[in-house]
This record gives sequence, C-alpha cells and structure tokens, in this order.
Amino acid sequence: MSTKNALVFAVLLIIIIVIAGPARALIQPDISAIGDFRAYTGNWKNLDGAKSPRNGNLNLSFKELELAIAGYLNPFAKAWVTVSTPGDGLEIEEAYATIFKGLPLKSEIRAGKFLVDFGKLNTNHVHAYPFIDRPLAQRVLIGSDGFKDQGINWNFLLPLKLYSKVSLSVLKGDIFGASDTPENTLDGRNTKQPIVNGHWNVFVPIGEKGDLDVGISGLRGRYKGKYAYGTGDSASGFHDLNATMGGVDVKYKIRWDDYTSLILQGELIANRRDIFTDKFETRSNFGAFGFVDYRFRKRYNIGFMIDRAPGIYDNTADDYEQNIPDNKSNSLTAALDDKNSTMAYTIFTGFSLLEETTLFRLMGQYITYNISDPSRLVDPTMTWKKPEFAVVLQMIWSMGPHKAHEF
Amino acid sequence: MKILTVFLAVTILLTCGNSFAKVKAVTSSSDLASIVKEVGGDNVDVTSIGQGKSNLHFVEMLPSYMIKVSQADIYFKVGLALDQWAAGIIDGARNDKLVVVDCSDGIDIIDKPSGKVDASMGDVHPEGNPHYWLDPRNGKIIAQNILDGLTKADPGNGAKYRSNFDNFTKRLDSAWAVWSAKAEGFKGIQIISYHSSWAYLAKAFNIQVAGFIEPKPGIEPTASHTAELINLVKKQDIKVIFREPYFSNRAPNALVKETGATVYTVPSSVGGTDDARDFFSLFDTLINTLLKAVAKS
Repeated sequence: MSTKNALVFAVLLIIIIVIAGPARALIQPDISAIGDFRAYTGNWKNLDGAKSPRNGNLNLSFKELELAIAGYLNPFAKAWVTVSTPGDGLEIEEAYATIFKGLPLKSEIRAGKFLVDFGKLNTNHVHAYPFIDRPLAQRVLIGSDGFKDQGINWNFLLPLKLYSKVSLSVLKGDIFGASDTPENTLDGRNTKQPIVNGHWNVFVPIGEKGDLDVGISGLRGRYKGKYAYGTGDSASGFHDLNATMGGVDVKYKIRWDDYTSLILQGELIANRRDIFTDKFETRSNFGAFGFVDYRFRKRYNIGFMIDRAPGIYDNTADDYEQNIPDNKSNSLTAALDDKNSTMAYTIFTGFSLLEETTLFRLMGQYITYNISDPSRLVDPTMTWKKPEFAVVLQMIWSMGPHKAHEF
Repeated sequence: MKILTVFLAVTILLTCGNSFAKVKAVTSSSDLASIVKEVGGDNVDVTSIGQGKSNLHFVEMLPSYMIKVSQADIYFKVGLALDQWAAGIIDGARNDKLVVVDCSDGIDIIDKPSGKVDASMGDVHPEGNPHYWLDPRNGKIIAQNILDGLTKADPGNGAKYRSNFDNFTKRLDSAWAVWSAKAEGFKGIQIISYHSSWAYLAKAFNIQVAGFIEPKPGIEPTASHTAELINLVKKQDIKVIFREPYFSNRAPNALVKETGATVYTVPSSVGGTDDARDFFSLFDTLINTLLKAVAKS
C-alpha cells in the first residue's frame, strides 16, 4: 500500500473509531470490517509458456480488507460507504446515498458510486457469494471487480401484486475502459460520455417453499475510441464507437426448512462493441455462468459452477493474486474477442462458524482455453495455452453488524 | 345528466367501499398476528412474515414480503433486535403511509446484559431477551401496543378495537388463573433448553432453566459443552429437555441417550406445533406438556 493510501486508510479508521464512540451510540451507523485471506495453488504458466513461480507452490495472500459504514442520514435517506484494499491499493468500492422514502411511484433515487443493477449477482459483494470469486463471464464483460460506476440511479416498484422493480441508471461509463490515457487500452476512450443502464426483475413465489427471480438488463454507451495500434499521427484519430450489452438473470431457491435450501442461479451476458484497430468493425460475443448451491445443517454449503467467458482470460499478470485467475488489463482484450473463449468448471464448499462472522471456503477450479484465432489474443504467440487448475482455501471474517440476507 | 348521475353513484359507492375497507396488517411473528386478530377482529386482515415453525432470528428479506408490506397499513414488529430483518423489509416496501409499532414497548425486559456486550458472548441481544411473548401476562402489554397502533391507523374503528381489547384481556385474565393453578403441578421443575427462549415462560410459571444446549446464544453445540451438560443432567436428575421445532435434534438426542431425559418438541410461537393455533392454545400446549413431563417422571 502506498504512503498516500495508508494515510487515507488511517484517517478512515480514526473517523470510524470516533464515530463508534459510546457517547454517540444512539446515532452511530453500522460499521463492519471484513477480511479475506487465501491460500492457493495451481499449475499456471507465464506468457512464454514456462512454469509460473507460483506453479505448485502454496501461495498465501491477504486478498482484501473491506470497511463498510452504513446508516440512516435522516428518516428519508440512507448512505453506504465501502472502502477496500484490493492488493496494494485503496479503493472506494461504493459510496452513495439513497432517498428511499417520500418519492412518488414507490421510487428510490441513488447517487454516488455503486454496484450497478446489471444481472442479479453483480449487486452483491463477493464475500456474500457461495463461492470465492466472481464468475469469469462477469470479470471479462462487466469488470474484474464487478460493475460499479459513478452515477445516478432511479428505481421504482411496478404497481403489481408481485414484486417487480425497474431500475434505470445514468453512469460515467468506466466499464468501457476507465483509463484516461487511451494508448493504454485497446478500446481506450478519449472523451467520456455517460452511458445508460436498465434492469427489470420480477420475483415470483413458487409454492410455499420456493421463489423465482427473473431479470433482464441492458446497457448502452457511445464513446470516442482512439486508434489502439500505431504510433505518431496514425494514433491520433478518433471514432464514434458504440457499446451495447444485454443480460438475462434467473435465480430459483427452494427452502425445505430454516437451514436447508437449494439455489439454482445463472446469467447470460451478450456483448456487442464497435472497435477500431486497423479498420472499423463490430464484434459480438457472450459470457454465461450457472451454479447450484446446496445449503445444509445451517453452516454448510456445497456446489458446482460452469462458467464461459469470451476471449482468453490469461492469469499471468503481476496482479494475479487479486483473484484466481485475474488480469484486469487482459479482461479488456477478452471482452473484445469474438473468436476465442475460456471455460471454467468450479466446485466449491463452505463452512461457517456463526453466519458470516467466520467462514471457510474451499474451491477447485479447472479452466480450459479454446483458441481458434490467435490474432485476437493480447499475445498472438500464446497458442501453447493448456488447461489449468487452481485450488483455493479462503477464510473470511466479518466484524460488526451482520444483517439478514436479501434474496 | 345521465352520465353525471352514474359518475356520482360510482363515486359514492367507491367512497363507501373505502370506509369499510379492512386494515391490512403485517406482523413479524405469528404470536403478534394472533393478538392482532384478537384486537382487530373482523376489521383487520393480518399476515405474519415469521412462521411458527421457523426461527425468527433468521428470516430472509424476500421481495414478496416487501410487496406485502408495501400494500399494508400497519406493521407490528417484535423488537429487541430479534427481527432486525424487519427494518430491511419495511425500507424495501417504500410505504410512506405505513404505521410501524414496536410491540416490546412497555415490556419488563429480562436478561438485559450489563457492561460491554460483544460477539464473544455469542449472538446475544444487547437490549435484552426478546422472547417476551412467552410470558402470557405480557400479552396485555402487546395487545395495548396493538390497540394503540390500530387506533392510530384506523381511528374510525377505535371503539371496536377497544372493545375487542377489553374482551381479550378478560379472557387472558381467566386463562391466566387456570394456567397458574395448573402450573402448581410442575412448580420448580428443572428443564434443559436448546436456546434462551424460555426465560419469560420460566419467570411466569416458576420453571428453572438449568442449562442450555447451545454453549452461548446462537452457537451450535460443541462436544465438550454437551459432555458438561450430560454431567449436569445426571447430577441434578433433570428429566425434561425443551427443543423448539426449528432446532436440530442431534444434540438433544445425545443427551437423551446418555441420561434418559426426554426431549419435548414444544412451540415457542403460535403455529410451532399443530396444537398451538393461537395465543391461548400456545400456553395450553406448553403447560400440558410440562404436566405430562411431570407425570412421566
């Protein structure tokens, strides 16, 4: 962590300690700290095909500390702040206020930086997932740390007997390349225009024990793209480029009793983006994931996930330890790849001592790469890429108020 | 003119219909729902989010609950941090007109921890033991809170609610006399309880809760704690183990195997067993179970 980040973090901690003073007990917000420690191994290779130094080793990593502050601002508004330390950095994951009362149409307005309503899983923090990391499809298409952006959201409940919510956002648009220096990214943007996003879901009870939640998402952006390849004058051109994404999410949960349940959940994300490399073209691809999670005896869960992402999601970058696997710069390349794909097969199991206060998870992941057009790869010589596996043990601890879980 | 007449007629009908509309109430627990039915009578439609056979500590914030609350006039919560999930459901319902009533107001709370409360004490409730409806005398206080809430939400029917309240408290007084007399039959009985659910019942009927299957509130039984409990049960010759329907029977059965005590699966809420259909039959069931236990031992 840099000195500046450490300083900001220390100031935040002091603020939290002061806020949490007993004299302010009646008005203090909920404050939580969540730690994520991992031990992992696998058979990864470097870009040149040689074994990674981590190959076969027992690697240890304190992946992240998350500080969350949440509370009412007044009877009509609430605010959330989540700051995390992914690796060496410090990031404001979310910081937003919501006006949730007093608005017409049973609506709610949110402004700030927040996890965007795109799909079902994205709005949950990763530590609340039954498995360890975001699915590859999400990481490639909506962001390796999830789809969070700065903007305004308006959502309202439809006047039906069923729960049905429509959510509309205007966002800064970091999802299509957050870099201000276009040369650094394949589809780097020079001017940032807001993008629009929408999500509509319907929640239907199925019998006395089951519930079905179905949603559709959409995202549309138009931005200036700069020549990605070439130097000097050839790199100075700009083109209007469109990006469109759509998604379908489904979750079914059946509860046999308070402590035994089964979740079937999946999402499909379709992606269509204009790109200008040496010529203008439009590329389409898709990602999808589906998982089964069986929870039993209150404290245990076990499940399986199949996950497909466009492109070759390489895991050899320096920031590998962030996720298994993870390569943020590579994810931008993969999102524009309409020829190659990555498949992941994951089994996971978990045990919690008392809810999420102390939680252990074990995951085995087998990844295969389907390379049919090496010219799409960030490194066209990467055709040696063979299936890889990873085994990860995770311990999550959570200090502070833990709330009931939303469906 | 004809159109105007029809319009006026429809308007009058709709207005009249409105004045006879029932108050829609949602409660956190089936116990509160039972008392709302008593006080609200035919003027109130009530549904409960928490079910008698479910653990009120763990309720998922389902959107279907939010939609129920969004269409409700009044919400009755248990309070004392038992139904913390209710706040999320109420906020998610976005119902500006909703009257929210905390039914723990005025309760003489027991087991309120003194000094610093932290997670090393387990899933402890800093505001005190929240299972207050299990002292039938608290039924009157709960009913008073419900009466106040219904009168606020529907002042036009305040007199009816008052009359229903008076009727309920009279019946409760009569039932209390019967239950107290019966409770002489098990006065001072020692029981082992799974969770600290029975503190109010114990206080009301002179029952001694000698130990808990949970080593600390909300913490699953451990082998060492169960071994200690076996020694305690043997030493004090305890014959009765109370288990709520939603808790595992593994640890209680281990006690039975080692000590010969009997496990009674008893309702801690209305609907917890088939016998416990309402607030009155809940206590009938509990008292009859204890009398049977004494007879058996």
